[in-house]
Amino acid sequence: MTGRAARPSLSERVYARLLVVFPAPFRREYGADMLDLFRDRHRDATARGTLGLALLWLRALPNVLVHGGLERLAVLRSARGWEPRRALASARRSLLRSPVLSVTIIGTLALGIGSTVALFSVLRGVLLRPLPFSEPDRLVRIWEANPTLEDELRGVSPWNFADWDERLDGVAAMTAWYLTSGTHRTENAAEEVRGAQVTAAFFEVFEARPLLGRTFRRDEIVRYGPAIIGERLWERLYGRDPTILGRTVSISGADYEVVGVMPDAFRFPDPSVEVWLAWDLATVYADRPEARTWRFMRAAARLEPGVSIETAARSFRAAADALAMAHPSENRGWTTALAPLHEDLVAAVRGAIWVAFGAVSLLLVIACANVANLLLSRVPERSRELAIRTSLGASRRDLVSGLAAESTTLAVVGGTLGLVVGGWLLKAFRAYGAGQVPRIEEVGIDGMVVGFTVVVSLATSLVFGLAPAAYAIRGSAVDALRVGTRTLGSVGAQRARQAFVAAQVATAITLLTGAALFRSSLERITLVDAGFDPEGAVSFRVSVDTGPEGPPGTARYFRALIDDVAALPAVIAVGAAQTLPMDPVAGDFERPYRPVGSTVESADAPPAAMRIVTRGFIRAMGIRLLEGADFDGTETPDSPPTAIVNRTLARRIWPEGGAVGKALELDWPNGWRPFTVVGVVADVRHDDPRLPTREEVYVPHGWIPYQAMSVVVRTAGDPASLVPALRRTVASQERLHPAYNFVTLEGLRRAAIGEERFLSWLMQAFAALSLALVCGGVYGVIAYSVASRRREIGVRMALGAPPRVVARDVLLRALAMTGVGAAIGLVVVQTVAGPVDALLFEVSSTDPVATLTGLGAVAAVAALAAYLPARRAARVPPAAALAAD
Amino acid sequence: MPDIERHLPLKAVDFHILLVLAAGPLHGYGMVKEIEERSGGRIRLEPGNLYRYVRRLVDEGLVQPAGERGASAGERRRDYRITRLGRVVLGADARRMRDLVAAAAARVSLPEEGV
Repeated sequence: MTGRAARPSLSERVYARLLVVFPAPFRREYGADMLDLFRDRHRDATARGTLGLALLWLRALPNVLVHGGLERLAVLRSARGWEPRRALASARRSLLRSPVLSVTIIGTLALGIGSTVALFSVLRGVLLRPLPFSEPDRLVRIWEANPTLEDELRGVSPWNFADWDERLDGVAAMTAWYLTSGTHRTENAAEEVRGAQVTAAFFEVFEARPLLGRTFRRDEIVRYGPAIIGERLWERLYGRDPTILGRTVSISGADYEVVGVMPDAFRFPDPSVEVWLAWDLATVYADRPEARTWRFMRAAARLEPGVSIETAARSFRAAADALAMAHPSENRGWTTALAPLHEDLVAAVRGAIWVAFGAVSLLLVIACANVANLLLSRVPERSRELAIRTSLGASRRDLVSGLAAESTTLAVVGGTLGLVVGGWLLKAFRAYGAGQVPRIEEVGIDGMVVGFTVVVSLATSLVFGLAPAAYAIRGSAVDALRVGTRTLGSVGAQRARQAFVAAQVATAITLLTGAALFRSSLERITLVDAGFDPEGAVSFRVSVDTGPEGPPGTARYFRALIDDVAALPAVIAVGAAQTLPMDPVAGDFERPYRPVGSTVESADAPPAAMRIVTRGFIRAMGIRLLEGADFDGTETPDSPPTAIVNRTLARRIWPEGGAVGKALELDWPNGWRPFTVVGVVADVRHDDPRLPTREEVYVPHGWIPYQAMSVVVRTAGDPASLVPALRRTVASQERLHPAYNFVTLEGLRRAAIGEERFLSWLMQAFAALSLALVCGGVYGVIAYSVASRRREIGVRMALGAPPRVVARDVLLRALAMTGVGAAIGLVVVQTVAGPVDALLFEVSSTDPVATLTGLGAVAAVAALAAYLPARRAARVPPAAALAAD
Repeated sequence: MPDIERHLPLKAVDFHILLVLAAGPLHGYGMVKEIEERSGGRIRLEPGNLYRYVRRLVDEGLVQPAGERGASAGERRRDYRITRLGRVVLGADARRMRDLVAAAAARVSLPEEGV
């Protein structure tokens, strides 16, 4: 090769090394050409920054491994005398000769590869794979945003949405929706179904085509309807009857014509949705100018081809600015924010998935290091065997292909089992993440995941199988036939084993520190006072239709239901609210508030979250009443409005106390209205235990009879066992108002801290596994070194070294190895701190306790693993020095 | 003519490589860039697979190395050129495809896009 002026880059040098995968003749002929092409690609890639470089390697690495392997296979196949079946049979014989070792290796590989495969599937299905819509890159999520609020993003208000719709450039179509649920009734059955109210262009934005019928037409919608139903509902209730088109469905007492059936594959805005109801904002809110402040809708748009999100965001902001000028009392301070739809959907889980994937990759590294270690431990006996075979006339190529067949067998069996293990883990993960992780139902093992497994398995076997093989072959020629125990295992192999153990220690420390951090994060979040007592309470939801009696009928229905439930045995307290803390089934809304006498306008008044509750709800939830009393239960739509406020709100308007009996004003439909405070309750962490409490106002259900309510029942016994009795009680009220969505408050709370629980559990499992692997690794290396230095130790003993000193030397050797690994581990911990910190609650990755826990655990395990060999060393009789080999 | 049929039909990638080389000798980077462009980005070749295909085409006598180019210019990359046999095979395969297209056009109406 001609010399080059410039020093080759690190990438080039690594790539040149990697070409070893190809057979030597091929390398001689085309190696330089390949390197040239790689260099050209590398030049292009570096121009695009770090990402370009990462992509280059992501393509180049599997490419070299796979095609190198294929080329070798092609050469082997064309070479005469090579019989794959014989090589495999001999590999199998050789592996069966040490079954424990083989099973350990295969088990380690299967676990390591399996967990990696499971998490890679999740990573790919949730984060990497594009959304299942046509040209998903053009879809954006729209938020209203107010930089003065603590959590600044809000939904979109009907009037603002309607106004943008008319004046925006760069937007191909735009839609708003609201998740809801309704009681679907046939003549003699009722079932609660999840639905979404969607504006006319909804299906146009997602370019979704119906299985049957058509989507909505702009000019046909008056207020609500027609409806499109989902394939599952169509199958369950109508037996896939094609005459469904044109018929009506009855949902919560109103009839809607069915114009289409959506395929099951279309699952937006939520996989649970089975009915899409057309929704015309202009007619629904025609006489409601105040709806401009009701920022409750979710919205998305499809941008014109070629329009960037920045350009679109600018035109949205301009429209928002214009609306803030035109409607200052409602829109002052409000602007808009756009985010790619995919990013927005997975924002909540992105960090957790990456961290989990990072952790599992570390685990795989440890597992691979262990496999390599196990294989290296066989170097001595293999050296001797190979030497014998060489002397019997086997060529070096025969030896290598024999060893390669063994590693490949291990990799194929380990990888296949890994795929099976990965499938199981994935199933468990999907069950665990259902309803919590977006897109989880799309996650599965597909071609790319299988490809990933193949690459990981092959890389593992090549890198970790061939390195030991190289040592074995190198050692075989010279030493092995001398059959001296002292010469067993070359110095190189031993050093390589120590390096592997140090690497294991480094990764294990990272995982242990992570486990300690996530555990402490979970503990702290569990200790957060949620403001209610989750134990011993169960809740369910009921929604009623507006009957002929109107709102008073609704109030009466719930009063009667609550009285009946209260009469059940073991029930301590019952009450209902339109929304429950930490319940993803939200019915949440907020209104601006101000003290009586203030003239602040709606746009400038802070918002308070509204809770519509019945008498008894506060007690049933176990929310502490700090001052005043609960509602008395006699409220009607005509009585003067009363309210209970939370402590945060009371402190904010009346810092000097004495809230009870005073009044605050809420910006209600039809303007500001005064509410007399009858009680003050403790703060409840309604949305998320991690976030501080917002201002909350409870108003009595009798005054504003909401139709869909969550009933909470506190019991002396096991809350779950009450469910059948509750179902019967609800059914006895009115046959076609079913109870649904039964859940214990404990369950709601557990789900709310699901991320902490998941990461804590996962990291602890990984940390435990890594400790076990490190233990095995250290033990293997130290035990081996003691065995091979038996004679040297005997000499030292004979010369008068006390056994204690000999044992100490062995332990120190183990700790030195651990120390090197620990130092590397600490550096690793610091480098990954950033993304991890974002997931921790009230604890940071620089937490000394966590680091010390990690260090201590690894040091203890290493010492423990080295103890037995050390003791064995201390008992070596001086006579060993004289023993014949 | 030597046994042309043996080489037909060409694999899509082989066809692309031969097609690119038919315009004149080219090195690896030139080949992958032009193939990428010609295929609208669908065929992206990395060193590993490109040179396995090249090795096969060389073994089959359709392509040969054009020797080291310009040691003087400091340019070290090696060009490949299409052989006469390669040209004949490429032409034969193109004709085979043209006949196929004609047969298809007789049965179904093809969209009238720019050729």
